[in-house]
Amino acid sequence: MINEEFDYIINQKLHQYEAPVSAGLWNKIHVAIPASDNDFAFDSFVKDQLVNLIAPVPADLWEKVKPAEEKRRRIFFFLPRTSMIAASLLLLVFAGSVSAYLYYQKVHSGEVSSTNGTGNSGSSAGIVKWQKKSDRITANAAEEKSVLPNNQNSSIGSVIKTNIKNSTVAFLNSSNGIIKSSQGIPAKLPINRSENNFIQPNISTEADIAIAESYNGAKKAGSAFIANKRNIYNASLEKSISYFNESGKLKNIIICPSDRKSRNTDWDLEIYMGPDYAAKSVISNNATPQFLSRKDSSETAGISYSAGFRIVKPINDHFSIKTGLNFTQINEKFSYRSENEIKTTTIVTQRIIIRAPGDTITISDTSTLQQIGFKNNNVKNRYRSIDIPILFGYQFGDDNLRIGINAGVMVNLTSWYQGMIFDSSFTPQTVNKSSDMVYKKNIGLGLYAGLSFMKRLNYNTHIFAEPYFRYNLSDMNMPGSAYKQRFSIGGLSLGLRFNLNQR
Amino acid sequence: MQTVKKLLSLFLIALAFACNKEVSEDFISYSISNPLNDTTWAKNITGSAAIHTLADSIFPIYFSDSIDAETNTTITFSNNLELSFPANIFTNNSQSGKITGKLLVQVIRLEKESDFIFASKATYSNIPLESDGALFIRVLKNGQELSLIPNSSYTIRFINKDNLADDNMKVYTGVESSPLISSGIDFNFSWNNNILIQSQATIYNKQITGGGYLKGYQITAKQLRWIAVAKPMEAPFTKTKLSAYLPLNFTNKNTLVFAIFSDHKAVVQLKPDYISRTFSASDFPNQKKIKLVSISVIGKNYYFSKLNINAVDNIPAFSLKPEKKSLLYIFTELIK
Repeated sequence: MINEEFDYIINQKLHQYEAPVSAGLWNKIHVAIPASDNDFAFDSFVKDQLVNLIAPVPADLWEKVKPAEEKRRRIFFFLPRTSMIAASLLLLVFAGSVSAYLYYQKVHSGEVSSTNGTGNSGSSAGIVKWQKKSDRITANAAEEKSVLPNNQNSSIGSVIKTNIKNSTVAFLNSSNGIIKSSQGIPAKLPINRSENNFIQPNISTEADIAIAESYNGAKKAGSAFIANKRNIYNASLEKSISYFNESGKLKNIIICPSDRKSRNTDWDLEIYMGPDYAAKSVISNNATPQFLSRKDSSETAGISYSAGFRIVKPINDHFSIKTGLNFTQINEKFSYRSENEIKTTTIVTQRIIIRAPGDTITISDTSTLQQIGFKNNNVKNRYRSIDIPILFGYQFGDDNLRIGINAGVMVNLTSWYQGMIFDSSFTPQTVNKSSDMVYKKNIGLGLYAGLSFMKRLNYNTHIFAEPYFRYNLSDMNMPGSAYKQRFSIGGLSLGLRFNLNQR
Repeated sequence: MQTVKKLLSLFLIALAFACNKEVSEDFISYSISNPLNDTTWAKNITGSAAIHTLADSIFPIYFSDSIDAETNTTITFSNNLELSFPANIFTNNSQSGKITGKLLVQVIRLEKESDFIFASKATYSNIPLESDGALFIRVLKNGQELSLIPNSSYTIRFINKDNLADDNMKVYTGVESSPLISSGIDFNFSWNNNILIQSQATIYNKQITGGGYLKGYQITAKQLRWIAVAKPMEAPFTKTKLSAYLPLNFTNKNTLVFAIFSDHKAVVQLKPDYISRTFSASDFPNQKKIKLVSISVIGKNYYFSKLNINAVDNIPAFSLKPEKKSLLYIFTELIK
């Protein structure tokens, strides 16, 4: 699997993905907090870890998700699309953080002190130590609460590096109290709230006492405990965190560049080939009924085919225009009977000659035998044309299967014919490209309508089937011909559609 | 891009194959009522067989003149042929009484070997005959053929193309079917020199202008119609059965085969051999240089073949391959 394919899969899997969390998850989390510690140490711990948190995104992350070419095509706003989206998100997060900070400043009081820990994957040395002003927590192995960035060496301070590519889900490890988080935090996530301004409200309500009791019970049972809505701050903090990561239900939002909109600027190539059936209409100008009857009985439609390619320019998610080259060959069987035909066959004969009584010889002779009869001749008439399709398409459906309608005109570039036809005396005459005095070199315009069914094969390739009908607007005979002939074609185009931008 | 290239390649290949023109044809032969499809041999050739048409089409032309029935008359034709008819020698078998008035005399003269072929009168009587010429003479009164009064005769004088005469030549008369066949081939015809034993062929000298003489034959004939001057081919020679075979389209109903001797004034017809589907001649002289020719007519088309054989030499059979030719071509080839 190549990087582009992996990126595509991740893109598809995480796009607007919501990951439900089982109801009992948080109940299983046991935070070993000493009885003497503050019951709300966990909340403070999370809070401290998110203070001034900046989650850097690998520099090439969006480069892999979003092709560079697409950035160059964002000429309207002078900036690449990914940058615009990232900037918007950052601005949104920043504004939200500032708002939350200002709000918390107003409602919280008290001090929160913290010490920076050294993050070290797989090692107790990387545990972040934290201590509240009133209840200090010693960073012992069994009792410490730690935040350990996933697979990353965390920078000094409260920096969580989030690896979207690896996309692990944040969870609490009940055995060692480690929170691993590589959740899909979309971008750098600075939390600018100052911990010094954090004010811990007094815990004096009955609910708080109940929470403390619940915590102690959970501790004795060896299971995780999460306090719910201890106070306004914790409620707000919990809400803030759950916005990004977790609450009763974790909702991860991976904001990817709009795939559909980016496709609008793509160029696609359709290559197709398929069988046709041509229905012929013949109208007499001055041909006799006998001639038309003989012509009709001598010409039988065969399986024809078309092939070509079309360049597709999507206008938006649904509409597109198409043009290219289309080659059509209408096959027809022309049957006629020719009389007094001589067929010569080489044969070997044996003759027994009696030269005299008792003198018999056998003569073998290779000679020819001529027979006369008639021939039923079958000639394949071929009506060929090269056209430029100018089609307008509308399609709907999801990325996997789309249904579309294509309609437009077929502009004939050239037509030529090969085969045999009857002349007015019912004598078969040969018609070819150079000596054709019967049919036009250009048959003008035709109307085209087709219904396409398209299924994605891989990231850049679709396969499609398009039954269609083509109606030619003009006759194919030269002026002054004894009859007017016109073909209407029904067919099925089978082909592949390639994205030329190689996303 | 590899996929695109493959698809484009397939597309081009399909176009290339599409350029081939395909023509199919089913041949259905006519029935054997069409002459070309009739490859059967006939045990007995009917009068409607094509061979009669062939014989009539190549039959020599008549020279005609008139005489008075009651006057001694000598008619001189070209090529040194003279006929002298005494008065009152003709009779009409169906009417009694004296024949009077003008009578039409028609003559066919066979000088060269090709003439015998055109007349389908080979020089053969059990063995090949060497002939210095043959004549067909008939006298008509009002379109009715006359015959000679018994014991009457008329005189024929002719000089051959070589201006030579052979003392060993005898008079042979043609033995025909009865009743006479007015057209086509008389398969029962033969040359015989026993019936008109009293007919004599003598050498006569014709004085020519400026002095000198030409040697010719003078026959006192006691029978009209076919008469020839011939002699059996000189012996000794060994004999063999000469056979010729042709493609299946050429049968005894449409083909005549002759052997022309290069060193003798003789023509032998190879008769159809129904069993072997060949044409053959028994008692044919060995070691002779000959030319085998076949003339056929199928429908309206004539076919001709020629095969030069330096020595028959017991070779059992020869293959002839007729080709479609014009009648003029056939005449020209045979006259050579």
